[in-house]
Amino acid sequence: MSRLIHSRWIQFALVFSLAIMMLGAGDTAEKRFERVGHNMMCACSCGQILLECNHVGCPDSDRMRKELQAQIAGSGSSPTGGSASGGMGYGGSDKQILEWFVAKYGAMVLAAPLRGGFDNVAWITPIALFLLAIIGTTVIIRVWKSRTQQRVPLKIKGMTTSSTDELRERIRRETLY
Amino acid sequence: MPSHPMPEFGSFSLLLALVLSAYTLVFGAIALLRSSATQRIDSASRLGETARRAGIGSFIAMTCAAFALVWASYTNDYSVAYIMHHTNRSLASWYKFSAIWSGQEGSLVLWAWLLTTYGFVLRLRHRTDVRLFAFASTILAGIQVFFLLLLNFAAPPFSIQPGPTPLDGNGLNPLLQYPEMVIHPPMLYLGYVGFAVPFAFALGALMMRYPGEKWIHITRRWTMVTWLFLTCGIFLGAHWAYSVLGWGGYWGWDPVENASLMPWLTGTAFLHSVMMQEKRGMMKNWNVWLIFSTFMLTILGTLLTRSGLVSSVHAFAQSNIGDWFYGFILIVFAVCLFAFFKNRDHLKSENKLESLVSRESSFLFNNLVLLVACFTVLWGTLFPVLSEYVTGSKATVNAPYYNRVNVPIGLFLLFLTGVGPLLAWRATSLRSIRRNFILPGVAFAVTAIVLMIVGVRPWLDGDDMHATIFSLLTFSLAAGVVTAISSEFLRGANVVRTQTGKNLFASTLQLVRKNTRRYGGYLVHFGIVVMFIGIAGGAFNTSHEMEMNFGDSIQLGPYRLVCQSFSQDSNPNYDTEFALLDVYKYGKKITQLAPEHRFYIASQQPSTIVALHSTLQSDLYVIYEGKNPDTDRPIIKVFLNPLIAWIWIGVLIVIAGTLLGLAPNLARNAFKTPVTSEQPNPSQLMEAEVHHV
Repeated sequence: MSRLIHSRWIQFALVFSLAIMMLGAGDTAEKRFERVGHNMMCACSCGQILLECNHVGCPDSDRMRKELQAQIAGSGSSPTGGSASGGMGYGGSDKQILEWFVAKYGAMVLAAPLRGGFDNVAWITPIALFLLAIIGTTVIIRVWKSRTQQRVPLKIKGMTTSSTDELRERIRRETLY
Repeated sequence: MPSHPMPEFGSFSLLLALVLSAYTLVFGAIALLRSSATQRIDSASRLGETARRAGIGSFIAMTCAAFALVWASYTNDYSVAYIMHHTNRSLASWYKFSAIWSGQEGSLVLWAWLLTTYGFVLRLRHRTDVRLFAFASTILAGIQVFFLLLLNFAAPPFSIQPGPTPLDGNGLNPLLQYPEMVIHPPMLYLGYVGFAVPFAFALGALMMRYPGEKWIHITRRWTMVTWLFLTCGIFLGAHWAYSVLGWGGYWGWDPVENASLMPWLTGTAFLHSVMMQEKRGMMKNWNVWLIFSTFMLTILGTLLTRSGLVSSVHAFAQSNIGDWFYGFILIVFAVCLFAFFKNRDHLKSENKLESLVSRESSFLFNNLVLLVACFTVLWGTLFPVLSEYVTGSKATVNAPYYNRVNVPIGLFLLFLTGVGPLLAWRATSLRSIRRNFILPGVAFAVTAIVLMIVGVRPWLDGDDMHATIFSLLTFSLAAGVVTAISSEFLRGANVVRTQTGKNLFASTLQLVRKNTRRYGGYLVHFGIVVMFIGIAGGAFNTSHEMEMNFGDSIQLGPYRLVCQSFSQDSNPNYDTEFALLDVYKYGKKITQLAPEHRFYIASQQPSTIVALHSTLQSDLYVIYEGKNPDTDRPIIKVFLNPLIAWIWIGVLIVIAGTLLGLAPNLARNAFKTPVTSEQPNPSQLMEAEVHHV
């Protein structure tokens, strides 16, 4: 019975947490403009993020910002200039907007590799390496530890493990300087 | 044909420096080989001494060459092509000095001069360990030869301008006409070049099968000083970018920035892992390769940015000397590999890791995380080239990529910064973990809850929740780490207080002075935490852009900016347009800011001068973007960047901590601890432990 109550409480806590997390979740056009604009490069070859391009008289950034605003507002044109139909020309998701810009300006307009295919390698490689390194190190330490444990453990007559730990800790502190 | 005595003197000095360096390399190596063969030791030692003196001579020759270039700059000698391209008559005198490293050839002169200077100090201190220093001196001479070959044949700084001498120069790049540019490159180069010294010692120690870990003790200060210079150089560059480039940020993940970060990451890993070799004779292979990699990364970074392999905003650095660097890095790698395989039996560990929960394993994880971060930066820098090769179209890898991949890695590192010092060497008991981790854990949880109560609620930020989550985690982890560091200080101080009867402050001071290295390290960790707090503030940046007329105002956060006037001015070096903005906070005028837009006459290039009002809470960052040609009114962009000042304060703490770590310890006093009859004497236990090991 007690276990059941505990489990109910855990379920309640989970549902409550999820509900709280969902509360107020929203996305204004301004926020979206900021977010998508920071995932794009200015096409003027300045090497800066679109919304950070501060070149006076930049030939591209103003036009691109207006295009982005239009895409977010859902009234964009097709990348070739004519009126578009379907999701491609009328904003849609962030991904669709970015695809619209790639179609118009080329892949260099994306501030990060987001096209799928080989671009995924850019994301997967560091994460895979990180996980491999962590798992590999853990395994190596465990193997070394099992070898080391075959030695005789330190025992001092008349001392419990906890007091040995305390004393070792004290020695560590006192002998470090 | 007109004669150019000073440039000729400079060219001759460069050639002389090359000859002397080559002598040090060749005859130094012959002397070492002869002395190894245990025959004619006297003649070998005399030959080695001539090589050492030639190395010192190369420093003098290189100093003469650098002086000739400075002289040419200050005397407006536009017969020298480099001076003509990088200075002009109206340039302020300190920028005439910094112009020396503003281009390819000059920056190589700085590099070679610093290298010979490090070599000079090393060769003067040879009595510390004559044979090890002779190896290091010879290896360093090899690196000198490479840079002097470049300066003599590939990128000569004293090339004479063809035709009649121009009356004025092209001027210095406007972006470089900023006070920090006078010290940022030398600091960065001191760091870059400095890693050649521990590299030379490590390679030398491996080649001569140097017994014990003394070479680490010898190079510890070199490595720390070098690391400190690189840290200062990187953050001076970040501060320069923040103050001059005018995009509101301080780090753009440009390939040149990445090139400086990579050796910093591996150098940091090396500084941590050599402690394991010093204390427990472990990780010898790892440490040797860490310092080899760090040195090779300094060369690779230079290769990446100067070969044109990857595009960078540091366009001045691109040239055709990339092939030289390809060749050099291959030679360095081959030599390292050969030395390693020939002597790898010399690098056997004396101990193995005994527990997953120990100081050693925390160092190991710290190393892995730093190396993964380094790999991520390298991977992101090279991915556009790889992508073009595989898919035919170049992908761009910019801030969004690095932020998403590196931020979680950085958080894990921050976690380890707090955890590492709490773990004991060899193994940590469960009880000790529980005792040491309770306070930091509570600090972490309380901070997270308080932040959520005051309004840091990621779930309200829609698709931007990642940034807020990372900030929340950073602030909470920072609280935990600061608590952990403080408790380490307090625990140590309490031990001293019990022993000496002094008050807590005096005990802390004594504690720190008796182990400057350990507590200097904690201070560096504290500085890193403060920097992380500043970086996390970036999640809450806001900005507003507006065309302003007299009396117009912009409201951003608690600040209101009112345009008082806008005007223009001129001097021989540049024309400037600026606006005067009164800044009010909660209705009270606090300051006046004057953002500028300059146009440099000689180079015909524009530049932005940011106006900044910085507080601990946030930076008010104002840019004059230019005038709207239709209305002739200025366009002003204002950023409110929270907690930026914490980054610069963090760097100052890191510098203080490193300097403390470099300071010598106070003489060791014996502790007179009353020992009860039930407990064994600590020295008995130590003895038992030593036998156990």
